[in-house]
Amino acid sequence: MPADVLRRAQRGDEHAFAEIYELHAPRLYATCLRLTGETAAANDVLQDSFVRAWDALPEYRGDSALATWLHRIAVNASLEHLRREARRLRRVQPVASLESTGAAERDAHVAERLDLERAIGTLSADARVVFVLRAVDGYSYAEISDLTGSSEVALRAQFARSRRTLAEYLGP
Amino acid sequence: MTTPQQPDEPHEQRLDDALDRLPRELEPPSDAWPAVRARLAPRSRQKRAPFLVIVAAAAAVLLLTTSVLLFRSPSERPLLTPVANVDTSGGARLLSELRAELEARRDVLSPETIRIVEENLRAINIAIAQTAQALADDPGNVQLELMLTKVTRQRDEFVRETTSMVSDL
Repeated sequence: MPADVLRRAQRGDEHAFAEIYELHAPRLYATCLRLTGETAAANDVLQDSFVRAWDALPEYRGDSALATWLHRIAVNASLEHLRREARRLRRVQPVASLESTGAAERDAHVAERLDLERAIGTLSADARVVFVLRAVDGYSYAEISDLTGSSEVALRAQFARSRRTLAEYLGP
Repeated sequence: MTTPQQPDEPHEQRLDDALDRLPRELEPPSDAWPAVRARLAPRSRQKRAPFLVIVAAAAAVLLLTTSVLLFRSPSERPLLTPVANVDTSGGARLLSELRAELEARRDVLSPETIRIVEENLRAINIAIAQTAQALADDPGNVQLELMLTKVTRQRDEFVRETTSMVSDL
């Protein structure tokens, strides 16, 4: 991304912000979808995240990479959504769009990937958050602890349980 | 961010292989960007300044009413029977919700905004504590009791409003 795109977006240039969206939205959406477990919720959370990012962009000083900063906003928005939801979430649905890709269905690796998406969707919301942030997005336990308020010891135990659950789900 | 740990058990290898192949990016719905764009406030109309003004104004009103009361001389107080006991702990849940919202929005709120909100909260709580102490020292003072009820209600209203504003940011 050209260096001036960020500066223009910070000054209120929506076209520049659209470039930032194009570049970062797919990764943020993947995380939102896996954390919320619902396509509609993920869409809402993604939109909220970018609106918040727009509002906060003038104060972004580059202390962390823009991708990291945006990802953190999306994770926070997803966690807020999960906190608001008292009911048990429906299962992860990225498979809905991926399943309709025809030729991809015949690919064994795609089938395995869909199995994993489904398996992640069977985890409780708390377990899913820890697993996705740790195993998929590469957050440290300290970072997840900051985000969730859970202790690192509890997070490690939760993650280990989720790994066993998912390994059993996928089979040997 | 760090790299997740290596598998401890051989049978977890398949899980890690599947994780390696998991797409880190998924195409968002096509209607997402138009919806975002429609919600982007022009920089000049962003509500940061009004937000701070309202927060500060609410606290100022609260402190003013309490200060007027606290500096009133005992001779001016009406000698009436207390009308009700005042529950000053009812706002704990609202305060907890506001603090949770502030914590959740740390990434998008400026440090200055968070500082002002927290300072106002401290000031309000001090005002309520001082009024409650005055009532404890003079339990027969109906005016103090009424004022404590009013100030507590104002505090709850202020906290509720601020929480709503923070969550809308």
